[in-house]
Amino acid sequence: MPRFYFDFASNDDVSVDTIGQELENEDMAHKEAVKALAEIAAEEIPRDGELVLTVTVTDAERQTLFTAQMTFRPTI
Amino acid sequence: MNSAIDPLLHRLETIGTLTDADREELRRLPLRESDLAKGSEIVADGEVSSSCCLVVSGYLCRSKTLPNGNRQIFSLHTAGDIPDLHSLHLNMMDHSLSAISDCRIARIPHDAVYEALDRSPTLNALLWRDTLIDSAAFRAWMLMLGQAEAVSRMAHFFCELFTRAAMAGLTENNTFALPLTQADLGDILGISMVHANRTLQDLRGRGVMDFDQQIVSILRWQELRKLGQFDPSYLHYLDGRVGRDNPAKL
Repeated sequence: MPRFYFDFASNDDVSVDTIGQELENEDMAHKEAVKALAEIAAEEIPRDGELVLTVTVTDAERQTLFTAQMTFRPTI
Repeated sequence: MNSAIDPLLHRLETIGTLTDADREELRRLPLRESDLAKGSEIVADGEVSSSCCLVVSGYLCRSKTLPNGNRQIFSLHTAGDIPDLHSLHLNMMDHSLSAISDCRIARIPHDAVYEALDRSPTLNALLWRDTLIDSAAFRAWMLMLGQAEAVSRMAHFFCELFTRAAMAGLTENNTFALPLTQADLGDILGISMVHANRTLQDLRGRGVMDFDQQIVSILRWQELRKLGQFDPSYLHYLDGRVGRDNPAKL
């Protein structure tokens, strides 16, 4: 199975995936990335404050396959 | 002497007292041992069983799967556990019992267990206590699943597994074997594989534990416990019975 890397950024705080994980295909990697983004947002957003969450999926050669972003902006 | 039964004796003695006669009853139980490959189902959801399953080595899990294929793992069981002891009285399975790693199990016919329990009221009471502790673990886990953040949930999970491994005499210093994949961890914690992997890297980064080559190492027990909000009282082990690897003393 091919290996994919999932790098996340929370505002400017980037956490680079150094291990990666094997998944059946790119479609599965895409689905997993979006699911994880939603789960992380559910934990982070209640802390309040502006939040921009980004996930970047790369292949084993570190070529970007997909990126998604979620923005939370509290308004008065 | 039957070594397959030893982790069970070890574990039962952390939660209660076995008389010599009880120990003899347990050692006399007929064990039908077999090896199972990872992924094999031992008892399917809805199946009627006529034997209990003692784990000899490796890990079993109890789980249920939604029609869309999403699976929730409820509990993990290693040597010394009888995860379907309740089948003595509820013989139609309401969940599935399967091998989450390659493992060795021993089936014990219900009839033999009934007879042993009829002869020994103390053993009967102790196995009842064991089953109640099993349900206490479900309550503790339900709280984590419903209310805790992923990092806390994962820390709690490792704390519980380490404590239970110590109760069955399966820890070596501050390590124990845990042959799980990232996908399994996600299904246990109720999160995606990617989030599980990220959470594990977070715990490693904090230096509280490591999980490498299917071995869990507890590096800073008190900090891991604090992160997991882990209070082991729901495991109801008796003071001083968890032995030299008593996690409370690490």
